[in-house]
Amino acid sequence: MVLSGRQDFENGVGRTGFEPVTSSVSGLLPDSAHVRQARSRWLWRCPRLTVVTPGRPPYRARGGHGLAAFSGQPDAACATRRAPCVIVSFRRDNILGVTNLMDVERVRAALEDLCEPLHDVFCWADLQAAERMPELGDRGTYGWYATHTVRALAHHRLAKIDLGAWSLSGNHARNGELWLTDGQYRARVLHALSDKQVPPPGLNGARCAYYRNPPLALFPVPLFGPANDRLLLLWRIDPESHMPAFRVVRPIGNWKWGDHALTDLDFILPPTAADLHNLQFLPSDEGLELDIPAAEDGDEDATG
Amino acid sequence: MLPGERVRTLRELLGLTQVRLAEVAGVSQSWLSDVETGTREVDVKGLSLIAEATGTPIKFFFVQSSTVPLDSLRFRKLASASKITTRRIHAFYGESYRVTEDLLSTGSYPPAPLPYATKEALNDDDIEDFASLTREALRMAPDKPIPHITRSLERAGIAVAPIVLTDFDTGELGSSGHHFGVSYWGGIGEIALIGYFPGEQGDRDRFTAAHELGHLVLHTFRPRSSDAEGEANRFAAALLVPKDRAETDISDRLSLMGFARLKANWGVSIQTLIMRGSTLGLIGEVRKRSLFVQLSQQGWRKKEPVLVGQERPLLLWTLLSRRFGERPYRAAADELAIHPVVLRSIAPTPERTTPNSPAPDSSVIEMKHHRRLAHYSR
Repeated sequence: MVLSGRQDFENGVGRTGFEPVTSSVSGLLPDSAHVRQARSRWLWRCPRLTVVTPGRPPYRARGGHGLAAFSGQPDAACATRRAPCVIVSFRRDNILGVTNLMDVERVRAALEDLCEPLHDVFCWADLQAAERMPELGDRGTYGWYATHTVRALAHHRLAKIDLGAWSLSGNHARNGELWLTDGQYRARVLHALSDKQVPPPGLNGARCAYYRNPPLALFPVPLFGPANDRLLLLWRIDPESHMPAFRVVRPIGNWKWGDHALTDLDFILPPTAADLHNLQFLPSDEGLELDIPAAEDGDEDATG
Repeated sequence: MLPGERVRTLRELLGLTQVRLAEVAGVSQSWLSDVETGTREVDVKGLSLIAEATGTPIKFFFVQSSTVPLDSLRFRKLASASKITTRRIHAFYGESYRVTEDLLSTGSYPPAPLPYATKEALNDDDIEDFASLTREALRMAPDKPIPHITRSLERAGIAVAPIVLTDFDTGELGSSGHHFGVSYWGGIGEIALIGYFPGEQGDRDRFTAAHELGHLVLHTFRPRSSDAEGEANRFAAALLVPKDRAETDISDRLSLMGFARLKANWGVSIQTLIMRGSTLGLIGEVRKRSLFVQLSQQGWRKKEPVLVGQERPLLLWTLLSRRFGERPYRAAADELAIHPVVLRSIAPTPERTTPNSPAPDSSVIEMKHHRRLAHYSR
C-alpha cells in the first residue's frame, strides 16, 4: 500500500490518492465526543471522502474501526457515498505504527536523560532489597514488599543523582508516588503486574484526567504550547537476572481492569541513550620513541 | 642439548604429533620416537629431511635451547586451557626468548630496571606501592592514563612479542587455547620478555601486558607465591588506574555509562574498572553486582562497548630489521637458527596504517571464550 495525497486531502484538492482519516487510535474512542466532532468536521470539509467498514456498505461505516478512502472520482463518490475507489485496511497495513513513529522518537528523545538512571537505580534497588531482607525473597508471597521497597529505594536514590532536565515530583509519602517531570513532560513510574497489561486509572478523578492525553492521531502537532505529554513508565524486574525493564505508555483514555488499554504510544525504554560508538581509546606512542643504541661502527673510531 | 631434544622442541613448536611429523618428513615414527628419547643416534640425513619438510634451518637442531626454566614461566590463561597448547606455547616462548636474548644483547639494548618484590607475603598496599614504583621505573606519569603500555615497556628494555600460533598444514590461525599471556624475567640485568596472544580488543591486550609485568615485578624473586595470579591482576589494575585517580573517578554512584567514559579515558575495560572500584572499597558489593547484572543484560560481559585500539610492538622488529634489512625473516631465520614462523609472529612488520585501525587477520587470534577477571590458573 502506498500512502499518499495527505496534502491533497488537507487542501481538499481532488487528486487521485487516499489517506486515512480515522485511525485505530480514534477507533478506540468511539464514544469520545471531541473525536466524533473532529471526524465530522473533517468529513464535512472534504466531501469527497468516504468512510467504509469491511463488510458494510460505505454509508454504514462506523467511526474508528472503519476505513477511509480518498476517491479519484470525487463527484460520483460524493454523490452516492457508496463508491470508494481504494480500500485501506488498518488491520492489514499497520498504519498506526507509521503515523506515530515520529512521536515515539520525540518522546524517546525527551526521556533520554532517564534511560540510564532508571535502569541503574532500579537494578541496584532490587538487589539491595534482596540483600537486606533475604528471608522475604519469595516473590509469590512477598512480592508486595519487594515492590514497595524497590520503589522507595529508587526514590531515595533518584533524589540524589543527576537526572538531567528531569526531577522528581509528586508526593512520595502518598502511597509511594514516584513521579518525574522535566517541566513539559510528566511521567508516573508505576509497577506493572505483567508485561502485557497497563494499569487502568481506576475511579480517581485526577488520575482519570491524567490518563486523558489528546490522541496523537488527531492532534499530531501540539495545538497550544509544548507537547505536555502525560506518560506512564511501567517497570518490571526480571526475578532471575534482576534487570529492570521500562515500558513507556501514553494513555489516551480510561478503561477498566482487564479491558484493552487505550494508549497511542507504547515502547520499551532503552537501557542507554548514549551513542557509545563515539567513545574510544586510541593508544598513542607519540613521544615514546625507542631509544636504540647506535650501531657500533669500527671505522669511525679507528685510528691509523 | 641433544639434537633429539631439539627435534621434540620443533615438533611442539609446530604443534605436530610424532606421527604427523614422521609422515611429513618421510621418516619412520619409531625412529622419531627413538631420536627424541635419545635411545638412537641422530643422523644428519634424518635431521635434514625434517628441516626441509618443515622449512626449518638445519642450525636449529644444533643450538642451545633458551635459558628459560620452563617451570618458572608465568601464564595468564583460563583454567580450561589445554595442556597440549600450553606445551606448544612453552616451546614457542622458549625459542622466542632465545632469539630475543640474541637480538637485545647484539643490539646493546639496556636491560629492564624493574623493581622487584622479595617479601614472602604482600598485601594490597604493597601491590599499590609496587605499581607506583613500576610507573616510575618505566618513566610513566604517576597519575595519568598510560597512552601506550607496549611502547613504555619496550623503551624500558622489556621486549613484547605477540604469539600467533598457526596450523602447520593449512597455515591458518590456530587457537591459543584460552591463554592470554606468558612472561619471564631472568633477574636483575637480564632479559625480560612478555608474550601475549593478540585479541580483538585492545583493552584486553593492555591488561595482559600489565598483568605479565606484575608477574615480572612480584614473582621473579617470589616464585612460590600462593596467589600469584590474583596479585598480578591487582597489580595490573593498580598500574593502569592508579589509586589516587581511581578514588577521584570511581564512586558508588557512577553509572555504567560513567564507567564506559572512564574506559575511553583509561583504556581499561569496564569490568576491570568495576573490579578496581570494588577492590579499593569505592563501590559496595550490591552496587558491583548491579553493575554486572546490567553488563550481562546488555551483552557487554563478552563484548564491551567503547573501542580500545590495539598496540603494536616495535622493538624486536626494529632490532631485527636493523641487523637483517627490511626483509629480514629468511636471513634472520638462518642466522638465528629459528623457524621463520616464530620470527614473523614475535617481530611482525609494522603496519603503515593508523594505530586505531582494526587488527589484520594475520595477527589476530579469535578467542570466543575469554572471560576477563575470572578463573585464572597458573
